[in-house]
Amino acid sequence: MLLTYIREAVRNLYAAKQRTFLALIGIGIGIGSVIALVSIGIIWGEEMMRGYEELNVDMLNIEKSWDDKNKHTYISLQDSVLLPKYIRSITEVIPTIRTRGNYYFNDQNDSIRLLGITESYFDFNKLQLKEGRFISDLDYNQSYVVIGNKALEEPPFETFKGKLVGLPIKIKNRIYTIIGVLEKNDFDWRSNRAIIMPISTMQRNLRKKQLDVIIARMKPKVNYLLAIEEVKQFFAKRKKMIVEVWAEKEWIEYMEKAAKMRTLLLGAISSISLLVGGVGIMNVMLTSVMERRREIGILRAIGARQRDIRRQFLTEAIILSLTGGALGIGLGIFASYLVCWFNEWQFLISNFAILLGVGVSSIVGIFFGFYPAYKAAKLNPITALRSD
Amino acid sequence: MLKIRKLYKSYTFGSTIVPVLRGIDLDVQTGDLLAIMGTSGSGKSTLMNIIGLLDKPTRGQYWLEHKEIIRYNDDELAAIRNQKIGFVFQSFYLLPRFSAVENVGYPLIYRGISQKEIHSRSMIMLEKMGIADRAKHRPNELSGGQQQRVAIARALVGKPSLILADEPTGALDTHVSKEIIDLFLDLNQQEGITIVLITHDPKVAKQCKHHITMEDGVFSCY
Repeated sequence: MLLTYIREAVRNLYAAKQRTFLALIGIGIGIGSVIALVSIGIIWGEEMMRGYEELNVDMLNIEKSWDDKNKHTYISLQDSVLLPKYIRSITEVIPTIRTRGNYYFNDQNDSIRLLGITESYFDFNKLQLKEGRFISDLDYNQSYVVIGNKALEEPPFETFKGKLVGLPIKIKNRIYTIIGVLEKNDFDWRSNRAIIMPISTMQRNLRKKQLDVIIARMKPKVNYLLAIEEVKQFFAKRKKMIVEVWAEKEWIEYMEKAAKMRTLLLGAISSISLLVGGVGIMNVMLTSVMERRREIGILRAIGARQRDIRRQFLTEAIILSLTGGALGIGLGIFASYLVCWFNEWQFLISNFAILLGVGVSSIVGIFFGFYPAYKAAKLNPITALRSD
Repeated sequence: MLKIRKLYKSYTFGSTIVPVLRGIDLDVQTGDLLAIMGTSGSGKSTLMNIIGLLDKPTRGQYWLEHKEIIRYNDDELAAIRNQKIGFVFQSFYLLPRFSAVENVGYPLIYRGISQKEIHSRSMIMLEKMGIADRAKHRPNELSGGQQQRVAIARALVGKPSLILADEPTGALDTHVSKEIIDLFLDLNQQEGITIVLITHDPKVAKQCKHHITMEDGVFSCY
C-alpha cells in the first residue's frame, strides 16, 4: 500500500516536472539555509571553544572580597597550604602575590608588575620558555627573576640587544639575576606582562605577606559549585573572611551558552525561508489537488476511502519536502563549508544539522501537506468526477 | 440484489430546492440486465450515483444485497463500492499516468492484495477483454474502444456483484459501441453478472432483459 502511494506520488511529481522543480528549489533553499546557519553556528561555537579548551578547566581563583569585614584580615601562605588538606576536591594550590615596583635595567628606570609564584605556576598556565629556566621551588628566598614576554616591549628591555639570562636587574633597590625569559602566550596575560620571582623571595624582600590570589586545581569532573562553596566555608570558619571564588568553568559554560543562543538565533532567522519553502509546497499541492479532482473522484468510485486519498497526497508532499530536504542538506553543507573556508575555521559536518534537516523537512511536508491532502479527501466524489 | 423504496433526492442551491428524484421504487434481481433510459436532466445519473453509493438519498430506503445502505459510514461505503460494485463511465475515467494493466488492478490495491497477485489478475482480465497486448500502454495511447475495455476490466477485476454503466458507449462510434454492448450482454449471459446500464439508445435498451424510462425524477413506464 505504502509502496503504491510512493510510486504514484513519484509519478505525479514527475508528471508536473516544472512545478515540482520550483517547489524543490523553494524548500531546498529553506532547509539549506537552516542547515547552513545552524552548522555555521555550531562550527563557530566549536571554534571559539577550541581556544578555551587550552585553559585550565578545573581551575579555581580565590581572592579576598572587598568587604568591610575583611579589613583586618588577609589570605596567608598558611591558608593556601591548608586548603588542599581540608578540601578534598582540591588537589593542588598556587599561591600568588601581585604588586608593582620600580626596576632599573640597561641604564633605565621603569615600573612594572611583579608576580610572586611557586614552581607549578609554569605547568599550570602552560607557559613556555624562550631562554633559561623557570622559577623552581628550590629557589627559596633566592633573588632570581623570570621576565614575561610582553615585558620585553618595555623601553629598558626593548633597547637592549643580547642575551638576558645571567644579567643582573635592580628591583626596588635590590639586585636580582635574570634566570629565564618566557615565550609568548595568549592565555595568561599576568605572567606575560610581569617580572616573576619565587613567592618566598617576594614576601621577604618586598615585605608583602598577604596573598592576592590562590589558584587551586580541582580534581577532574568535580562539581565546581560545590567546591566553591567548600572554599568559602573554609575561609569563613578559619578567619571569618569572605572570599570571592571564581571557576574557569563558569566562564566556559557561559561561553557555551552564548554559542548555543547564537546557533538558536541563526536557526530562527533561517526558518523564515523555510516557512516560505513550506508555503511553496502547500501551493504546489493545492494546485495538484485542483488539477486532479477527477482522478480523486475515480479513486473514490473504485473504493478509495477518504483516508486513502489523504495519505496519497500527504505522501506526495512528504516526498517533495524530503527530496527538497536532501537538496537542502547538500546546499547547507556546501554553504557552511564556504563560510568556514573564508574564515579559516575548521570545517565539520554536524550530524545534528543533518538530523535537523531530515526532521524539519518531514515536518514541513506533513504540516504544509496536510491541508491540501485534507481538502482532497473531503472532495465530494460526484463533483470530483464531474470536474475536468 | 437491490431494492429501492420511495427514494427522493433534491439538491439545494442557495434558497431554492431542486427535486431530482421524486419517489423511485426499483427492484433488480441477481443476474438481471436493466437499461435505464431518459432524457438528460431526468435524474438517471443521480439515481445511478445513489445506487453506486457515491451519493446519498435525501429520503427513502435502499437495500443492496439485503443491507440497508443508510446505516453505513463513508469508509464502509467505500469498502462496499470496492468489493460489490464495478463502475463503467461514459468517458472511461482511467488514471492518465498509469498503464492499462495498472489501471485495471487499481481497485485491488485497496484490498491489500500483493502486487504480483494484482498484476496476474489484471492480466487475466485484459486477456478476457482481448487487449492483453496493450497492457503496458497508457490510456492516451489507446483507442476509445480499448480504453472502455480497460475500464470494464477494471470494473470486473474485483469480481463485483453489480456493474453500473453510465452511458458506456456515449463516447464511442457505432461500430465500437456494438462491440462494447455485446461485451455487456455476454458478461450478463455467460457469467450471470448483474448489470444496470444507462443509455440514450433505444436499440441498446431493447437488447437488455428489462428497460425502463425516467422522466422528471420518476419512472414513466416499467
